[in-house]
Amino acid sequence: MMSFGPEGGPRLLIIPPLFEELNRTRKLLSDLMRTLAGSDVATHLPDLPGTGESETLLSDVSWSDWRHAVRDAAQEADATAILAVRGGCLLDDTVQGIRHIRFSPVAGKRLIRDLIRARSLTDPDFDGDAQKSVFDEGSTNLGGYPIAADMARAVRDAELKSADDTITIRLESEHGDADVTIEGTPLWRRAEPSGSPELATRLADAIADRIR
Amino acid sequence: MATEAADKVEETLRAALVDVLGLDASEVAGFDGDTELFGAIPELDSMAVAGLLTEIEDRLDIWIEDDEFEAEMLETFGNLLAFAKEKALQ
Repeated sequence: MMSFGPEGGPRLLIIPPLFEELNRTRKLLSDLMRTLAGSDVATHLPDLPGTGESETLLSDVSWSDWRHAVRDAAQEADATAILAVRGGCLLDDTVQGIRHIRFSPVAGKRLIRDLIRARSLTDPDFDGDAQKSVFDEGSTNLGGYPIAADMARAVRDAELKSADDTITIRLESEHGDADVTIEGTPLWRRAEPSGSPELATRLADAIADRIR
Repeated sequence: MATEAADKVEETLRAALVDVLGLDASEVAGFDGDTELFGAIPELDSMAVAGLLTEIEDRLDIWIEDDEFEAEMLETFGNLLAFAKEKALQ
């Protein structure tokens, strides 16, 4: 788990986006952590099993492993608030009793569909049958990650569960319910993973005052 | 009336390209039917295409079935627009 920022202030656990979107938002998250530290907020960013520094193979990881990992990370960090980003919002309901902030939450069905579509564009052999097998055969490479059939099904069926005390932040250009909207571009779509200091600052501002 | 609805689809499509890909609005305003998209615009890789399609579905309130989707429709702005109009105005 990567931790950053001062002691004595709020402790924010960050649940990152899933799969390919994770790679594309790394810079945003690290900029965000640095900016929040300037507002006396400490942040903790775990590697979900099978990603980042984790020694487990993603193809061996189940959805419930991820849910347990989030709960454990919240305990380890002694989190006073939780920020879930994109697909990470499908996991945040494992932690209750603290303020939840969701940034651009996305349903699992849409997430897995984007990954399948993305591969079908570049791989002519990834036809209808191959796409169906994502959910019932061995692990499939989607966006550079080997995703087991069990995991693919779990993500597909995962819905955003309402948690108590949740604030939803979205980009102005997005659709969907939001308590707060901020200006910015969806970096999780970007081919060239780049950050946006402006977006990190706006997001940090939207978060910092709501978790004290 | 039909023209107005068609203009709205085109406007929505251009706005989605700007927002999803972070392209310059003036650049996208200059796209015509022959402007090449997938393979010609570096920002538009396969993940971005998937996101773009989802965004278009959202904004036009349409649902694109997997078997309706062909790589050809992303070749040019004209092809994508024709597809979007057909779906949204049917």
